[in-house]
Amino acid sequence: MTNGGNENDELSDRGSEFPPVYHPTPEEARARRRRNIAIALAIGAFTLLFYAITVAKLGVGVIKKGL
Amino acid sequence: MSLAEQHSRVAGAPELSLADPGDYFSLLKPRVMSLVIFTALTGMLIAPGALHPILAGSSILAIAVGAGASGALNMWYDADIDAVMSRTRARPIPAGRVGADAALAFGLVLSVLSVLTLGVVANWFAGAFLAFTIFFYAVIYTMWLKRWTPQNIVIGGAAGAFPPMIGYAAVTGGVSLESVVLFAIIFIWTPPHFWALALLKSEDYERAGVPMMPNVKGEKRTRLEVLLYSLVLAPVGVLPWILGFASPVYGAVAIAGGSAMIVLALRVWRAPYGSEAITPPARQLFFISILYLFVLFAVLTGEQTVQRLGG
Repeated sequence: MTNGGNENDELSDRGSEFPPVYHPTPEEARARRRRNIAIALAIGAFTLLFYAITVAKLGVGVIKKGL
Repeated sequence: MSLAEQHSRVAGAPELSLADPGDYFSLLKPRVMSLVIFTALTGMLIAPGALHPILAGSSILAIAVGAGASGALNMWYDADIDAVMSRTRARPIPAGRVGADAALAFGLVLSVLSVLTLGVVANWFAGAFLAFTIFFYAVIYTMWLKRWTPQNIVIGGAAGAFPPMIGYAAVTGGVSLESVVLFAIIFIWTPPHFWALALLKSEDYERAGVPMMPNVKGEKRTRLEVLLYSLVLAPVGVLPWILGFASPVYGAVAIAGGSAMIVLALRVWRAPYGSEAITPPARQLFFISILYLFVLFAVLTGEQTVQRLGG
């Protein structure tokens, strides 16, 4: 569009109404990444656990003699 | 002030947490969790019948996570006390690594998840029992008894004694004399164990305003109570053999262990007065009491495992 420059100006003006994007420090970003990985692993493990539980309950029976 | 200035880093914008996953794991009191796993497993093994190994393992995991969740809730509520006690000031919340709100959310989510998991995996009686245990520890002990009465750890100790009953209930859907006996062993063990600690850390508890027995009733009364509870604990520890669900080997171990507890409690009772003199016998009783409980449950667990493997 021929008036792209004017549109960019409008967008810039609208952008100043909003607070700036928060930038974490490198340390905060690293800590957040570690927590996110731990949460992802926990959710994955929980999913696998419930898959195994479902197979155990439906496939083999709940009670059996001995270990 | 413009919006940009209000939200600038320099103007005190909210900071992201620096907590590691390990800090959140610390909230769960891992050492208590390991004891819960062990005692719940014992309860599960003495129960008649058995669960599929995956269901049994998942039940133990749910019970352990439930115990950890109640530990997190305890740390959330007691952050103010923990901050002034040398034993606890390095915990994640007083050390500033985890926010109080985050710990509360963490504890609540794990509580709900663990109870629902145990209910689905085992049965809803066990799930309800776990829910009650979490409530008992987090609300009745932590929020009420701990700061109110020197009998706090006597009554509150029930929370630590429930796991073998929950393990038993996971298999049978109910309770029995055997599971109640396991509860009784831990319940009666708790006061001499924690009062030995209180004798060692009375200044810490005084500073925090926690009404432990030595601070409220005095050292003399505490020493006597430690001895009396140890005298009761010794025969209760032998009950599994007397009632027939443990072998004479267990009986011999329990008699020896109970006798050792009485001897150590007598040393605490007879020690000269003064903070220096009480330290060696109280410390010895504290650490040996851990070994005593561990050995009793280890022998029970070992016997049941051998029995089941032998068919």
